[in-house]
Amino acid sequence: MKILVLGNSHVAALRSAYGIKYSGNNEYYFIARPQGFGGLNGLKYQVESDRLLREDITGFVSWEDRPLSEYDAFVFVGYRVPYLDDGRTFYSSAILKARYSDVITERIHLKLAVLISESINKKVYIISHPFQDSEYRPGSTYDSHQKRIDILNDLIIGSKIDFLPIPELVVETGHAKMKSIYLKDDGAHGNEEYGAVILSEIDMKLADI
Amino acid sequence: MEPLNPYENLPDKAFWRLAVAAHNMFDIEGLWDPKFNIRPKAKVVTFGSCFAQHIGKALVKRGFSWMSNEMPPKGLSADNAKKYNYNIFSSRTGNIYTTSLLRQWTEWSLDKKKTSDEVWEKDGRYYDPFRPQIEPDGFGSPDEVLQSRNQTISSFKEGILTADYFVFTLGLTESWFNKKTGVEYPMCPGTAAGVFDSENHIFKNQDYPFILNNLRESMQLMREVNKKLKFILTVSPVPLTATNTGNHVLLATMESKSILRAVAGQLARSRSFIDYFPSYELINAPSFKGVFFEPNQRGVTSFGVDFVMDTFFKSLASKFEKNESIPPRQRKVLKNKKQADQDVVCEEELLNAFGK
Repeated sequence: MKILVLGNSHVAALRSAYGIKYSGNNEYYFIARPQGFGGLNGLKYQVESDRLLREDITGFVSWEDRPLSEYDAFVFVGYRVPYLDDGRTFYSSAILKARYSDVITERIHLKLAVLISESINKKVYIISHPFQDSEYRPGSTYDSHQKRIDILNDLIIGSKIDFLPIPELVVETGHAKMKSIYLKDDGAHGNEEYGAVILSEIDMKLADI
Repeated sequence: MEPLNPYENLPDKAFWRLAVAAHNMFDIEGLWDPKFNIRPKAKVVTFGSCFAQHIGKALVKRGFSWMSNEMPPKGLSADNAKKYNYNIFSSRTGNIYTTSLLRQWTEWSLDKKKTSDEVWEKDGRYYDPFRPQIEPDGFGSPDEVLQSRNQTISSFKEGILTADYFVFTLGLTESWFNKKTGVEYPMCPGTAAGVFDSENHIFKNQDYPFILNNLRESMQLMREVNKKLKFILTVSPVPLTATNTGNHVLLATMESKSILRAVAGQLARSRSFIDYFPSYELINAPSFKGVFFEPNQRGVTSFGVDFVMDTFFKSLASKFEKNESIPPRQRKVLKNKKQADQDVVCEEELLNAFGK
């Protein structure tokens, strides 16, 4: 299967892992937000309007000049998990529908993910950035992260998008904190080991399709 | 030496010539002598007629602790939060125009009366008779209406239990009741939603004793569960849109506002835990020449609202010198800065990953 990984600087961990540690059978391709250096020819999806975004998607090619439709799945990495409510408060269906629209339209990667999943009808996985040391608060649990992911998946139920939690394997048991062996020195980005775990997770998900 | 008469030693504010005629209208002072030192950390809830929403906004703007007990779901945009009437009042009650409606919400929330199961339907959508415009396109089912109303009742109760100050703006004397069930509607059925039934929907132009009694009973019920709760009453300066009394709408407006003003004054004079803030006079008094009204002579301009709320805070500061506003929170600024810092790191990260 051909998989396109999109995102920001957190794409780096997966790309590094793919070149060194990956032993699966899928073909991964990578693309990051245009940075204006390093020879990147990234996708310009920071667009001005819905219309432009929809037009772009038809002619959207990856770094590899491959039409999007030739990919079997897409992976967005490196995003902040939006914090949604815990589901204990009642909201009307109209409000939840409006909230869904707001959550999507205010986050460009979600907007693009929805467009890809709807227009190309392919599976899209979204994984947040690793837990960052600077954001850790005592008492932040892995369960609460998992719950946030569950709520997001409830929000987009019926679509071909899946939010994936950060794998339990890479966190300190029970905590929303990375094991240091999976982080780079900056405490913010995953390393090759982390990238390899994520690729493995995606492979497993794709095997279930 | 004994004064010749009681007026001789009165302060300037007691005399029209000295307190009003001698001043530019924007320099008239001493219109409110606040009873309570409302500190920025004190929890304040606001309910009532349309004008009450300005008080909540002004409190937030000044760094005071206005309580919104019914928050929009996380992720809902500010525009949609407004569309669905979040953060207009401290709960999504919609307008509580009359003191009897306030009593109805209070009794429901404190389990003194069984809540209504009435729901209105129109074109396949469902509306809450007690908050007919709370969801502009209605609800998806009758059950949604009732669940949403229960959510509001619950959050209204939370406000009663936890607030330090309950600000209530009295708006109307004219009201509509259901003859069979006794419930009161905030709007005449058949206007914003519902169908008018002349047999069952009855009009009542509330009189002074009725209004006084309902307001007194409401406050009594609230104080039974929150003894520290204090009240600030105001009267909406906004004239009636329409009257069902048969009178001219201008006369009906003056009469109803006069009654509401008298009730608020009576309660503020007779109870230590009740104060009256003169938003009505600040907009409507002849000295202000109607300058705070929109061209339709009904809507209050933002300038007028600011004038009223400036008076509110200036009066507090003047009487309680240590009253301080909390400076605007810097969290968002810091958060953006943090994000910007992080982006700088990220640029370098990409170079490392994609470089040879």
